[in-house]
Parts: sequence; structure tokens; C-alpha cells
Amino acid sequence: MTSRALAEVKIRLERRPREIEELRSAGRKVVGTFCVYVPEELIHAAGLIPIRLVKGGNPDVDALGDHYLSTGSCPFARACLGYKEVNRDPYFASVDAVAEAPTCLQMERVLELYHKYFGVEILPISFPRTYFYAPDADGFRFFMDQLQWFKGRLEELAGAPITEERLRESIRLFDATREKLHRIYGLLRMDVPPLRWEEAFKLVHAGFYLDRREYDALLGDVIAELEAACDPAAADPDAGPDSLPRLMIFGGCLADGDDKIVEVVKSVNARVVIDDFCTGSRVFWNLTGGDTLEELAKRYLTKVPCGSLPYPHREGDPKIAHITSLAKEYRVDGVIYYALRCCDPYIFKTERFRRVLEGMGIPMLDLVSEYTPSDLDELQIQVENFVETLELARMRG
Amino acid sequence: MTEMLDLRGGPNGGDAVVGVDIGSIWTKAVFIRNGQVTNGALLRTGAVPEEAGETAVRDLLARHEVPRDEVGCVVATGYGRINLASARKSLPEITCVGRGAHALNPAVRTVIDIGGLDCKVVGLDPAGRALKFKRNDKCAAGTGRFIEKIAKILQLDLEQISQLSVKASGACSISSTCVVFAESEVVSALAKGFPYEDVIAGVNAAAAERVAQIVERLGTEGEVAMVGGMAKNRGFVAALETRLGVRFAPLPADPQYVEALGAALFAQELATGKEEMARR
Repeated sequence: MTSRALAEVKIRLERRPREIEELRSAGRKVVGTFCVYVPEELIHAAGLIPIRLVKGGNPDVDALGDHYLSTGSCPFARACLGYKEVNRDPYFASVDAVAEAPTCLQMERVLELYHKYFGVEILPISFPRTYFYAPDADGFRFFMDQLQWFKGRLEELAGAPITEERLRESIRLFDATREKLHRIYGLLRMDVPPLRWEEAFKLVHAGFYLDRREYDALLGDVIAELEAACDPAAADPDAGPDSLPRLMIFGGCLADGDDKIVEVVKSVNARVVIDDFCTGSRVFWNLTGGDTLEELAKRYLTKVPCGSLPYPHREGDPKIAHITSLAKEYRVDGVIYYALRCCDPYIFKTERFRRVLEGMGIPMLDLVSEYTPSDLDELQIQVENFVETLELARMRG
Repeated sequence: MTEMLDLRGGPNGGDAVVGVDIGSIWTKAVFIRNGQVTNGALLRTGAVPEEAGETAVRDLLARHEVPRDEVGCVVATGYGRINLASARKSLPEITCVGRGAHALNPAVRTVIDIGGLDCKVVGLDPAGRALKFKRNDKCAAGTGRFIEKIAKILQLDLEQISQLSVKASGACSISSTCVVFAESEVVSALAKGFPYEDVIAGVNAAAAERVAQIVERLGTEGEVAMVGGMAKNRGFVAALETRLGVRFAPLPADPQYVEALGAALFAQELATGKEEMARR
């Protein structure tokens, strides 16, 4: 869509590096995060600036990361190191500390290397991997201890305490933002949504960088505009019935800038309607539901899990439950499962997802790729042919 | 090279239509007029796919002395199908290969299509429409390129490879499916004095193994047919049949033209405004 509000988000994003520079010279500190498991609310409540460093898609940057890891490592992990080595990206260059709650070993290693080679102060939070086996037991207490420690470190960094009041405000703000993103993604359930999934996905990314209060206000403008566009009175009377196949896309980390698959799905005769990426819907899917540190801990523990966590929950598999409910809610015709090369956790869960989805009559195409453009044609052919089978299935009725 | 397939009595007697399959190595075109199917020349796709496509169409029409404006419709398929100016429509490969194979043998439910760059296994419904498919990932092991490369080392052409491959008394073991590694295995097998026939049989067996894994991941149903350039490599076809434990269904046509034939049949439907095509 052509949108004034979306254009405004772009303008603010362009302005943001400069703004951060100014804030830093005035004494504000920036805390970078990689994974979606760091409670950014605490960073925000400390008066520090949270920036999520999930950038990827550039093979040259990855090649630099190879010096620290190996060519046989996760492309995203390599990118995290490559960006820091170049240190020209305004966000990577401006971090005063990096907080991370790694759920996989590769990201744990990245954090170690940030400290060892770049001298960056690191704030590692241990995430209880067994929590999903026994949700009410020791895992919770353990994570609470971790968050107390994290809170203390942030207070030292900020030189001021995180008051209950400040924390409450931050949690409320982040929840409000999450609710707004939910509403925007909710519009994708429509037959003909007022925006494309790709636009909604990029809108989530904007929140990684922008001032959170400003971002929340911008989302409000976006919603107002989108909901006006949904008004039947404003609908284009010449627009015919739309019968594009509806796709869900999910899998491992799809970083900001890793646009290969995004461009491919945009070019084919289908409509992506929902994702389950840690850079997409998983950013906002669960709300906190309360405004205390305990509630915050619970929120992060019970998020839709990352593939690298074990999740045979006593009550059933929460990831499978989420994926199947999304497939129903968004009336999905086909699924694209996209994993990065060397991302074992996502690659070895491929068949499990396929079996579950195919059991619902939903075909799944699994793709493994990295940041080099060498397989672009290949992805294009695979996705085109996949969409074709969906199209033919619809014709059969 | 005039072929088989009696399409007379179809709804569109006089219309001339063309299907072009612009593959990664070869471009193929099929011409249908008055129910008569004619295969055009095979030409190297080269660096500019749309040029190869246009040349294929032009040559075919010139050969049959058909003015361009009497052609009802051109449909393009294959890896280079985008941007072919003369095509009214471009359709994905699996759709065309299903259509072509179905027209040639309606009992076929699984098509193994191996070209220069890829290996596709397509499951068809009773009407020849693709239900599901599996394709090799970006590695070209087990495809035409793989055999071409080996032929080059042996300084043989593909026809010679095909002839020699069925004369082997045994197969030497080639374990690599990577062309680069396989090349060194071939060189060392030759140095050890293995006859060409056995080396080729080993290469075919390695390629068949790789393809078989893709076939097994999709699963086969009903009659299985093999199309694409690799179907002309008799030793490979035999190796794959043995590995899979099936006999491929006979198709009364040049296997390399099946995708182009499917495109031409869709062109015919488009030209006559058949409902299903019009919806697309």
C-alpha cells in the first residue's frame, strides 16, 4: 500500500542513527540484544536504549565473521561478528553493552567473542532450557534470579535504580506496542488485507531501532490509516475477488536485511499472511498480562518457543499447538519453512512440522539457505512450483 | 523429427500453437497444427535465455512456413521462461511436464524429470495436474550437468556415453555425487585401468542413487515415467529402474520434449479459450 504512516516510519528510521549519536554524547547508553528472549522492558526501565541487533543478508559481512567462527557456522551468528568487526553499521557501532539470552550454542559463542575480541561489556542471561518440561518448578525461580541479576547490572550501567514505577511504565508501554502489532497482523487474516505481510514484517523490525514511545505512537497512526482503508466505503469497487493461495512462512532467524526469501515470496502469485519468526510475530505474540518482574519473567518463559529450545511441555507441544492454530486462524493453504544453513535445531525439526501440517492437509515446502545470492534462482523455482501445486489444488476444489 | 500423438478431432483443428521449454542447457520447442505435433530443433540455451526461446520459435515457424501472426498462441516454460516476448503465458515446469506426460500416457502418476540443472519428481492426479513435487537442492549432482562433465573427461559425446553404459560388465564404485570430487574419482579409476564402460556405469549408478533419494522422499504412485535429457542415457535409466525396483512407463515421444509438449498443449487450450486456462 502507499501509506503516509509507513513512509513516516521510514523517515524516522533514517533519522534514528543520528539521534542515538546525540543521545550518547549526552550520556545515554545503548544496550544491544540479539535474541528475542532478552526482556528489553528492563533495559528501557533503566533509562537505557534497547536496540535489537538482528541484521543479516550480506555475504561479505558473513565472510568477516568467518574469522571468529567458521564457514560451517550459522550465517546469522557470523553476521553478528562481521558487523561488529566492520563497526560501520550505526547500531552495532553504538552499543555500550550487549545483553543476550541465547537459546542456541552459536549465539552463546557470539556473546563470548564480543567480550573477548571486541571488549564489549556483555550481560549474559541464562535461559532455563528445561522450563518446558516442568513449567512451575525450579525453572521459574532460576530465571527470576537471572532477571534480578540482570536488573542489578543494568542499574549499575545506568547509574540509577529501576524503580517499580519505571518498570511498570515500561511493561505497559511494551504491551501496548505488542497489542498494536497484533492488531496489524490481525488484518492479514482478511481475504484482501490492506497491507502486505512483507510490510507488516518490516514494521516489526522498525521497533528494533526506534525510540519505543515514538514507535508506539507511529503504530497507532499506521493502524488508523489501515483501518480506514478497510472501510467498505473506501474499497476499490473494481477490485475483483481475490483467490491467491495463502501462505504461512516460518523457521529459523530471518534477520532484518535477509530479504532473499522475502523478495521471492513477493514475486510469486501467492499471499503470505502470517509468519512465526523471532523477527516477526514472535516479537509480540504473547503479552505480559501484568506489570511486575514476576509477570515479565513468566511472559518470556512461556513465549512461543524458539526452535532451539526443547519443548515437550507436559501439556503438549506449545510450538506445534501455536503453528497449527495460526494455520487455522489465518486460513493457510501452504507453508514455507525456511531455515538457515547450519541451524541444526530448525533443520532437524523440519519433518515433524511437515507431518503435522500435512496431517491438516496443508503442504509444506522446506528450504535451507544462507546469505549468498547463489541460490536465488533455485529458491525462485522451488517457490514458484510450490505455489503452482497450491493453485492446481484450488482448481481441483 | 515428426512424432506420434494423434490430436486430430480436438476443438481447434486449424490453429497453430507453440510450446517452448527454455532449459538450463537446451531449448526445445514443440509445434502443433492440424492435430499434428512436431518437435523443433534442440538448441543451446546459452547466456541469453530469451534469445534462445525466440530463435526456437522463429526457426520452427520458418520451417513450417507459418507466418507469425497465424500462430494462435505461444506458451513458455523452463528455467528461462520469464521475459520471452512472444509468449502469451509462461507456466511452471511441473505443470507442463505433468500435462505432457499425461497426454502421452494417462496412466502415469509420477514423473521423474531430469534436465541439465535439476531433477524434479512430480506426483500427478488422474488428470495430469501436479499434486506435489520434490526437487534437488542447489547442487546439480545427478543431473545432466553431472554426466556432461564426466563425458568431457572421457572425451565422449552423450550418445557414446549412453551406448557404452549398457555394455558394462561391472560398475566401478564412484561414491561422490559432487561433480568435482567425482571427477577425481573417475580420473583415478581410469588410472587403475577400469574400462570406460565400467566407469560410466559407476557414474550412472552414483547419479541414480542421488535421484532415487529424491524420488523416495516424495514417494511414487501408479505408473512412473522418466522424461528430460537424462532419459536418453540408457545406462542411467536402467540403473535408476533397478535402484527403485520399477519399470518406467513407455512414453511414445522424445523424452526431452515432454515439457515443451505440455506447454504446447496449454497453448492450444489458451488459443481456444478453454475455461481452466482462462482462469489463470
